[in-house]
Amino acid sequence: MSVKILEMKNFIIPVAIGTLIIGAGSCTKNFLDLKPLDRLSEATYFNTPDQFKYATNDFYEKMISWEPVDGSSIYDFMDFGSDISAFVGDAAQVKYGRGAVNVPLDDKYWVNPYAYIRSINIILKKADAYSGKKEDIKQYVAAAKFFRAWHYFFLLKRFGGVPIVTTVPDIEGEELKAPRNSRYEVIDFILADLKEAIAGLPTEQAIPTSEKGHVSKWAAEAFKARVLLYEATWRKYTGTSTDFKGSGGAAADQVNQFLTEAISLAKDVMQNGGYKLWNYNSNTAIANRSNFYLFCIDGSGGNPAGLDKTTNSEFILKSMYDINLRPGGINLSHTVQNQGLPNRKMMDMYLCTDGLPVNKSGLFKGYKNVSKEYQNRDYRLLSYVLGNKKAPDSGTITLDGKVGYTNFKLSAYNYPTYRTSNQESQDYPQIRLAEVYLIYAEALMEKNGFISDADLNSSINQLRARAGVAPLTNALVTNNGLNMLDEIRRERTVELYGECFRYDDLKRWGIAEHELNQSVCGMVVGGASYETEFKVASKVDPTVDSATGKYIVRNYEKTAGSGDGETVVSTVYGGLKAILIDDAANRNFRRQHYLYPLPLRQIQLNPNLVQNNDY
Amino acid sequence: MKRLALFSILATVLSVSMIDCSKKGGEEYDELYDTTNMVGAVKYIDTLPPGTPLIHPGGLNVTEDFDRIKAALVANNKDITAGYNKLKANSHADSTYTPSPVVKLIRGGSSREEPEPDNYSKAFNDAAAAYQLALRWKIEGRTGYANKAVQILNAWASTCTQLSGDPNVFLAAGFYGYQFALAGELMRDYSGWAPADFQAYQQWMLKVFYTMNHSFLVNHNGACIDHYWANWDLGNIASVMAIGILTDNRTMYNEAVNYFQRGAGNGNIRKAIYYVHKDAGLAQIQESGRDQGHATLVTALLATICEIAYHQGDDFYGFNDNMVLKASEYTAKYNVAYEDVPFQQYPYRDCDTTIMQTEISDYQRGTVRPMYTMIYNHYVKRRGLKAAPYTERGVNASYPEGGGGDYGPNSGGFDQLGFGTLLYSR
Repeated sequence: MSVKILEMKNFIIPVAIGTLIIGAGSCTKNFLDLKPLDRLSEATYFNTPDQFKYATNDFYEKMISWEPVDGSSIYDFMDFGSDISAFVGDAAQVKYGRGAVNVPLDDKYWVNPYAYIRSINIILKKADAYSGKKEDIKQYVAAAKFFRAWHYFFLLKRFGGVPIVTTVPDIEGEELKAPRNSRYEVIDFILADLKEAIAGLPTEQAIPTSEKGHVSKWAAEAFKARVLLYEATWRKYTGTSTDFKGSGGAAADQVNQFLTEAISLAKDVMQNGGYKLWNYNSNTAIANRSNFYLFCIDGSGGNPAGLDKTTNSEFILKSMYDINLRPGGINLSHTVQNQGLPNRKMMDMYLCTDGLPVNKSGLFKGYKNVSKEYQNRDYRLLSYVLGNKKAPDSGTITLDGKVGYTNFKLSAYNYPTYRTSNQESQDYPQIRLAEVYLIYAEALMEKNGFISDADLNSSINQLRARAGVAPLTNALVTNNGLNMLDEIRRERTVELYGECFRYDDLKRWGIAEHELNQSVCGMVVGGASYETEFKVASKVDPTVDSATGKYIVRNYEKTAGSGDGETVVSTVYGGLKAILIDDAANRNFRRQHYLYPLPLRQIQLNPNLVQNNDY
Repeated sequence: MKRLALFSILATVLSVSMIDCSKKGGEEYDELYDTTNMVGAVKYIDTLPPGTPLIHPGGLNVTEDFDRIKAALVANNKDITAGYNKLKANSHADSTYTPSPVVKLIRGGSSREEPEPDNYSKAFNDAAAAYQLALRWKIEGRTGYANKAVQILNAWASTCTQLSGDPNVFLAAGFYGYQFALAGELMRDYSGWAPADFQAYQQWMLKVFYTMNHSFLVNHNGACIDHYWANWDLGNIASVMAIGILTDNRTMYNEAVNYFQRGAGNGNIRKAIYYVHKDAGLAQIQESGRDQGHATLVTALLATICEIAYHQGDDFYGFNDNMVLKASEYTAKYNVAYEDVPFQQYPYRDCDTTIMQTEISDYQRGTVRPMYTMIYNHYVKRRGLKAAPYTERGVNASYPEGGGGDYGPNSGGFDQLGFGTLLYSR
């Protein structure tokens, strides 16, 4: 597989077309009807299959990834400020996680997808009118359908039901006054588009090396499985509670049907897609940190083993980057290192190597010094939190206002030497095999209330094997009082940390307000009854906590000496004092926030749009 | 508008001519600016007649402060000990420090005005070192520190002959002017500083720095009055004030006092603090809509000027119903507590164009400068006025405060002298 950016020179064509559409001046009607002779235009284009290909190439960069497109920012989707994040600074997602959402005048995440959908609809219209062999453009029509489904799913996740537009409205188009479709109609529409996309797209194996990066049938199947699981669980747990006033309901109970299809699609991708987890743990230079290096593959210097992008067959659909042709263009490493920090909940979520959680495993070493909690743990804890670095030694961390944990997932390796800010050029994983495994296991569990060891082994136990964690089995669950569904969800949370899934998962599981409204905590500091590097028993009165020189208590307090910088967290050692990063009192995420408000300007332009509940 | 413009010109003239006035002021209603941000009548601060001696040592830190600090260290006071350890750990506060004075101090180099590259990091490092060593001498009494501080100051006075650069040279004139002057003020009563050297140092500050400071406050480098953001004026006001004290020049000190309350530029305290959100007890900085690096800089400089003036008997902290405290609360609420603050739209009148800022800038939000402890302890401890919840959070978050060298190698970490936990805890 060669690193080749999708014929970037051709991206200008749709732009030129778009410019022409908008650029109508105040001239006579006849003049407006003339075709421009000196440049490409919609009227003279779309006569050859290549022209459809070039036009659809533009859609790839409209998926949100590193590089901002039309004002988008990947940071608006990462897990910052969620229930597993220690970052409470300045980010839109932090406000969202606290339920501080105001109705905006405009929202680029409404306007942009509709603009992209319009471009797609133009191409589909041209495809209908295409006089050549339809078979020659089948792949591009299918890709257009895939991307239309992609953007409607994006809109659905953010706003719920939205108006479905399949045409190319002019400025007086009826479509502009259309009411919202229900989420059920939108889902049916997405699934129909994806069905056609799957039918028309080539397999990955059939995509020639020079065309790599184009969407395959497997990518469409995997994406459809994502949509199906999302919607099935949303309906199961969140139900109609977020439907806007006047919304229609589901024509039928599709939950089982959705889960069944998600399972079979995921299985097809797993068995026939030819994708493989990127597991170079045994390479001494990678040293069990595949889960870190996977996300920094970028030329031969993206990891100490010299493994380049040709080694990655885990990403099923990716946004492609290249240091020369398309660098990331954002301050990625710095941002994820500062804002991607895990909190207490996340640190404790990683399993011990015996497959058991920290409150059940005899392998867990506790919190007495800062090196302990890294021992006998999931390689993903080491990979994400430490990158390629070793666990902190006892005595090396001073709590002086910082979290005390780090994050390197999604950062460039060897930053800022090998790649400096804005130059990070690793591919962005839109869909990767790990997620398909997670979909498969979760959908099976949701559908049957049971999953066999064989199915676990063919799916998420592959992820656990790469992470050095004992397999999840029915015996492990039974013998240790675990809950299979919780363990599958844990696996998803751990594997996909920072990859823009957490908020959506909390919402489709119907637990967002419960999880997001807890106090956000940091390092365990203990006290007289559980001495750590940060707090010990006072020499004067052994029942009293005394901070050590490694802990500047005031740096965490609102009022000095009040103790308001700490709270008690529940651990296997009983309630222990931990740093309080964000008090539950600051957090007010409610059911209304499962969906974002429609931007006011859209409602002003189209009074038939009903606002989401309680905004 | 016409009246405003007229008054601006008048104020510029006044800011120069008024240096000869004495005992002017008293209770007056403000006519200079939009009065919507006023809290009752503004009481201007009177100035004393030329020739009235200044109080020495009278910079940021005075004898009473060092008495308190020494007693607290003996008593093993936790906070002041933590602050002191922070000072001792700073590589600048070391008697083996080597100064690097330059003949031509350049900020804004590699430019049309000055082809040679910048070298101002030498000035801010050496000024920080001189100040920190002076503190150690005052607290510990060991002459090794005093000798090193004096060596640094003498080296600069005998080497450096001019400031140069594009307009940024006026930042150097302001920031390093006030810092060198305050370090000198701390050392003026050291018997080991030869009188001739001290006088040479005073003359150096007057010739190399004050002339630039005065020029900037009068002419603003030839620009329209609102072109330069508040921190430019404030650095130069602080420098004029500190050099006035160092050289025992009441007229010069009065120039700073008058400009700070009546000047035409953005360093006027009521322009630097652009808008008081009365109901919220918060006050917006002129640079709040620009970025938080500069908004926090303005807050630090305001506090610096207030603290210096307070030691001369002039209470700018209390000016206009404690507006500096409200500015600190505003800055800390946004940058420390990460809470929303109200924003009054600000028209930045950059000569021929006006840029309307409609929201606070989140750029550099969370910038840390060692400044809140000075402010908090004045209002809450020294004056017992009122609680300052957000400033207090700033105090806690930055505890123990360091100084130049503790906040990165770049100039921003040296814009303020710092060490508030040690110097201002009460």
